[in-house]
Amino acid sequence: MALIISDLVAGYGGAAIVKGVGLSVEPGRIVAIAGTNGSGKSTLVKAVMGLVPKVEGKVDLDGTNLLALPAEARVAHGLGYVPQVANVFTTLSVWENLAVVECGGDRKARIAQMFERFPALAERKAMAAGHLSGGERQQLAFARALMLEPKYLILDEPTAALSVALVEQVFTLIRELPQLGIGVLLVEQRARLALEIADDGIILDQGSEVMAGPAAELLEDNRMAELYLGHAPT
Amino acid sequence: MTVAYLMNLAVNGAVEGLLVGLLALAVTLVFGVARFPNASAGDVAMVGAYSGWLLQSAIVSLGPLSLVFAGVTAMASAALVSLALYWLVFRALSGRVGVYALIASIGAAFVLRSVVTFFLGHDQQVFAVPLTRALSIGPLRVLPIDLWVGAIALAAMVCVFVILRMTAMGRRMRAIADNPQLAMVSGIPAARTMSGLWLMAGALSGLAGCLLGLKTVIAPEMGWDLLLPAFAATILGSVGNPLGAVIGGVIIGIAQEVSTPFVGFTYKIAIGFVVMLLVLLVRPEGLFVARARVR
Repeated sequence: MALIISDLVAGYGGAAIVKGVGLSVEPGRIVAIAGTNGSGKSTLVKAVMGLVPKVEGKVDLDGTNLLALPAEARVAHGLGYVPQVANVFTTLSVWENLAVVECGGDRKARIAQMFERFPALAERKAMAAGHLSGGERQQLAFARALMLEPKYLILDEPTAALSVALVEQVFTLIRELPQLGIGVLLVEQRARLALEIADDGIILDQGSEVMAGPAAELLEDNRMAELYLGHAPT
Repeated sequence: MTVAYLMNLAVNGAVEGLLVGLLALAVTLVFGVARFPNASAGDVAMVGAYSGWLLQSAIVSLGPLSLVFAGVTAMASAALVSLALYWLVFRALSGRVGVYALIASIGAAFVLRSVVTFFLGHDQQVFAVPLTRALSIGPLRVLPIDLWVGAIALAAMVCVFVILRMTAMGRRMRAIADNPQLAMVSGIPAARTMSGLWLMAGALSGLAGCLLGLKTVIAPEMGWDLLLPAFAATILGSVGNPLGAVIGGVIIGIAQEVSTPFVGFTYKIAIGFVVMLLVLLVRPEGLFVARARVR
């Protein structure tokens, strides 16, 4: 039982942006992907979701090869995704953002659960999502993804453009996901913060894996810390 | 020329404008979700009008009830033609630049018109409508058929807005219009939603064609003649905005009719475009851009 990515090569037509990357995410664990700007982090997760036109390699979710499936079928297999930008339907109300998700089971009960989990959203359920603050919008993006009860959740830079206070709020949310049995693949610019909450990590540079392993070891690695994490461990 | 005369023209223009708005609504719905101006909408409307007329010709003995069946047939046949065009032509072009689908829709329009003229000829046809006396409302004289046409067009528009706002299918359409990629990763079934969209747009077009046929005549070019003001209404009301399309249609309908005494019947169609150009000079994004897109 795992999301296993093997030898993934992905791009938009010209030269490949992601060049033969592999990793695996198990339920209840967080894997952080770090790297500099343009290292291919977002392209990698978009390729896993089926949003990149040129993809080779293998993406196996609990025994099913996802590469042959369109994005909506990957979602049906248990893959959730919170994009970096444009991650809510801005013209739909908060309630509609949750109601529109194609989840199985009792939709109303799921929405009630989400409002219980994110009380700020319940207070603004009739408001157009485009009018929410940055933090509320991120909560709605999480709630929308969780409506689908994903086995694995891909988060593409969930703290981008958020204030420091909101970053902590978002990381608190991410920390709670493994307790729900969800495997998390986290792409983050704030590499040190991401590795601090992750079980495993992978560092990308120009589309290739330069280091991978337990997050704690990556945090302690002097060379990686200097190159990719801002400063060496103290 | 009296004020009463101009008022009568305005009322007539408002009814015609509602028909333009009905087709503009179909155009703007497709544009909002599928992201291209569907030039086959007018000829889908024409197919609907001919289907309704064919059926009514066969059951004319039923009297006014035959018109109800004609309307339903027009909507159903146009909806099916619209759905077929989506599955056979436009679905394969989704994801490509909109101009491909636009050119394809022009081609589809010609094919539809050719098929109709091949089997039914170029002659104008009319629905068998009972002769009625115009109603006098103050200075206005209104034909009952115009009241029916206006009321049915308005009811159809209300239905569309209810579907968009209050049903799961409508929410899905608005979600795809808002953010297609996010809709995809939210598990929203694109093919089913797009089929619903094309069925709805086709039914609206068929109804517009049938009502126009009731008000005037049925002819192979009627769809093209209705399409141009519908495009103008779509742009005037901000592309992708359903309510804007309807209001744009009414504005253009009234402008065209009220201008008739000044420019003549032949040139009235140009007036709608003059109004559109004037508005766009002042407000290039259309009148209702703040609420643009299918929402």
